Amino acid sequence: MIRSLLMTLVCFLSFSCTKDEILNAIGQESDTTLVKLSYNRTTPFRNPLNGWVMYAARNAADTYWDTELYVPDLGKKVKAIDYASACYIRTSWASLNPGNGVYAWNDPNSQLAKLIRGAEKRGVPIAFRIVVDGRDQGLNTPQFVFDAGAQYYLENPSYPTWKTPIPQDPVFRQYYTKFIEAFGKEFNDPARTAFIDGYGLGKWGEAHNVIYAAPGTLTAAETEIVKEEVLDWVTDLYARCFKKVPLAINYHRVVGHPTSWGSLNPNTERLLLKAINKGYCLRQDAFGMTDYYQSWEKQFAKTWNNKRPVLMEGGWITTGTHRYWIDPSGKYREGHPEDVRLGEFDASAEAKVNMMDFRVGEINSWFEKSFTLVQRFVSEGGYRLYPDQISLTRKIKSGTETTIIHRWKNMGWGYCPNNLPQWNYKYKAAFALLDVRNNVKKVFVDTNSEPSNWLKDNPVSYNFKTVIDVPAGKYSWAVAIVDTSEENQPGIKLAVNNEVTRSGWVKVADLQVQ
Amino acid sequence: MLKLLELTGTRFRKVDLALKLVALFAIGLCVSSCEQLADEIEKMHDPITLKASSIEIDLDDEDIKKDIVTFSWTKTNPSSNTHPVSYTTLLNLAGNNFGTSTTITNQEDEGILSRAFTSEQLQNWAREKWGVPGNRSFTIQFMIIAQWEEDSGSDAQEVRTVTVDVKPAIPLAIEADKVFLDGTAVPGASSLEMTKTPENENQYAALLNLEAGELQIPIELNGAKHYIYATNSDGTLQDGEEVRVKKRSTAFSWAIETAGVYRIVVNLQTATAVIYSPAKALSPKSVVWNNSSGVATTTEVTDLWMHGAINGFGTPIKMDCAVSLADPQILIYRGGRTGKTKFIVYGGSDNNKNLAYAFSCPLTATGTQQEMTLTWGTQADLSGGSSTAQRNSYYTIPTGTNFLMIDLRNMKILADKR
Repeated sequence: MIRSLLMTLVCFLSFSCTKDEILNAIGQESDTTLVKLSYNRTTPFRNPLNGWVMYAARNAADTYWDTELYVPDLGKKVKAIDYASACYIRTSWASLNPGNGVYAWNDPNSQLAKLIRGAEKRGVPIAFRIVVDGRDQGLNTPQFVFDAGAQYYLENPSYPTWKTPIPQDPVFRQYYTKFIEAFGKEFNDPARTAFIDGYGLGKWGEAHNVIYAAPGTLTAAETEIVKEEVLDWVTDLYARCFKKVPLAINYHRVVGHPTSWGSLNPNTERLLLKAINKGYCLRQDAFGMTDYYQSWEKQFAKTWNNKRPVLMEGGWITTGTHRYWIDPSGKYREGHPEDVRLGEFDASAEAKVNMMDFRVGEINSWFEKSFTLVQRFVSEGGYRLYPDQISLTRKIKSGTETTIIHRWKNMGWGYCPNNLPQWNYKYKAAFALLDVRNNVKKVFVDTNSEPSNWLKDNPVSYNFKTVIDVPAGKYSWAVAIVDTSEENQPGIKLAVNNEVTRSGWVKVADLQVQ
Repeated sequence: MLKLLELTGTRFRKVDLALKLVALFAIGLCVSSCEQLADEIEKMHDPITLKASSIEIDLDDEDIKKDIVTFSWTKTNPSSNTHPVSYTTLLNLAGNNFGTSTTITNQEDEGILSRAFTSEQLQNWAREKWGVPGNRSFTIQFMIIAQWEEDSGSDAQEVRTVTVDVKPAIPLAIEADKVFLDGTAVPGASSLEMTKTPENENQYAALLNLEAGELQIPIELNGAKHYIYATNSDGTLQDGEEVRVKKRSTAFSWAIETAGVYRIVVNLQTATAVIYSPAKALSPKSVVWNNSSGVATTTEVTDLWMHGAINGFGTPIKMDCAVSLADPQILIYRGGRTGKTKFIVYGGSDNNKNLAYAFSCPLTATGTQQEMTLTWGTQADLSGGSSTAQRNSYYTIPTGTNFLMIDLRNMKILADKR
């Protein structure tokens, strides 16, 4: 009854009164103010597991990260890395681990170490895929592993060094385990590593055409058994070594299978689920290839939308080696890479991907011919979070309780994967009191807030009660999404134009504590 | 009235039933009171004002990345503030009527009240989007559109436009009788004279071995010696990048860090220069096509053959193209053959001549073959491929043509009579 009367009152007031009057009526302090933040729709913010990924060849110089491209729409050159949230290196096990116990990242003069450090120096986290299959790329597994007796398959005797290891082999596993453990020790750090492709077997490490034995050796039933055992082993290994950094596995209909294409394998979804349950994100390397990325792939991504992030990689190479104009969609014209870019973008929008690719070679057409799509992904893709309005008090007596009402919007089609086990819900909305020099004097974390629940077109509000236990004085309210595993430092940049302090807090309003 | 509201607000938190009834009584008072308040605060509509930092600007080629003009506006102030206002800004050449293909469009965030452009941007758009010759003044128009939804549900908008006259940075063209390469990086005791490129008599190019050292580009005009220098540069090589140049009487040197084959291109008309080190060496175009055995074939294009009605579909006509020193993807044909043809990358008389990668006119919008005719002096688009539609597309070279430039990098073709 009381609630009804109250609602009636609020209802009447909302038709005819100012917001302060409404706030008064629903029980807010009279000094409460409603702050509307100014949304920023275009700036590429570097946020974890979100945005563009800039690829580099394994043998690139670190200056590659400074690549500038001319953008006709802007009338000037821009640095591609300024639009990227992560730098991606797809390389071989052999290049990172050239000798037993020898790791490229420990050699400051190695090309890879320079490339990795080059990304870090530019403030961008690195991401990796480690490839072991040697069939069409040469020796990707270190020779010392084979010298130690690891079994391998040689597809083409004309290329005797192009060996592909057998992943069930104990010698292979011994050395690969040692390598991934060392790799994890070095890179299991979310401050420097964006994500790791945590499967790595098969052609190009894409989890298809995986070699378990010479063709025709295993029966179909045996193949299914060994496939599952290997997937369990390798995903367990990566998950054990990367507890803080997101892992990804390719999703397609023949995951882990010795073929590259075919009808949906009856075990595919179950195997993917096993990896997902260990915290794996989803990635696909054939976006825009409509003969490979079909209804099953689309449906699978849809099933996992907002539960696991999807990372996109385009399939077609438009710079020389692929005949992309024969794509069954009929939408790509020869000599028009921008058609492929649009196809990739549309498929990415449908899959609600969090990350898209600036692959080597393809990066030019993104900037020179399809920059509108680059900008659209910044504005519309992944997650893009901001509190559109915050109601908080401007004057309060020290030691008393206040209520902060904050509403959050996600302007992107993706989601903030705070629910990943590696993140373990570490990001939370928080409010800080800053002194006149913008030093943080107190942080109030709303532990009920959950960024992974903030989805496009569904603003989420919270009523956060907290006691203002700071000495009397003048303060500024500030808001952030903090990383609770990093002493509540701001962890995700907010899409606003409001003033941001050097430490990443967005200033909201003044507060007088009495 | 406000006092009463504060009071009722406080008591609600204490869940005092009696005062809830008082609050109900307050509703009536409040409604009438707030109506009055609404009347009091009803706003006059404030229209947007838009201004440019200057209505006449001179582009600055010494600091091309610096903002040269800023447009600023005031927020519109619709009668109701319950609906967000979106701001869109447009920039175009005056007279283009803000056509979509030539307009620079930006969605402006709420709270952003200005947009600036640099000399570099205006210069590039003038040349590329608006087709303004480099040495000509032009006028730009900037428009802001504010859009919002009225309480009635209808759309409302305000539009303001401002015009700015723009002068190019300098009289761009550099006059010279001869252009040389000199400095410690150039082997030999004397300077080397650069040659004009066949496709552009205002452009000089050289491809030569340089040693580590200093590279100078002297020019000679009426017997006097001057030096070309890069504006916005201290002599550091901007490898492979086109830089603006001027002339001066004192020497200017580019630093050549490593020895090797360098390509140097100087365009006196546009006052630009490009130096390519071995690391940024230009390569001929490479294309992939399937031959009659179905095998993927990679061809590096250093010459072309005419094939089509022009040779009765017989043995392809070898064009013996001259390759431009400015760019190995620019081929010049002066052989004088005219007629309907495509330009293929294979010269044999077997069936591969029909399957080979071909350059000719672009396909139709729906991707089907077509035939077009070149016009003297007008650059046309070139399209390449090995699809059936592309192989069945043809250009007609007009009778009398004695100059054909095929630019495979920018995919352009020019027929002329010279």
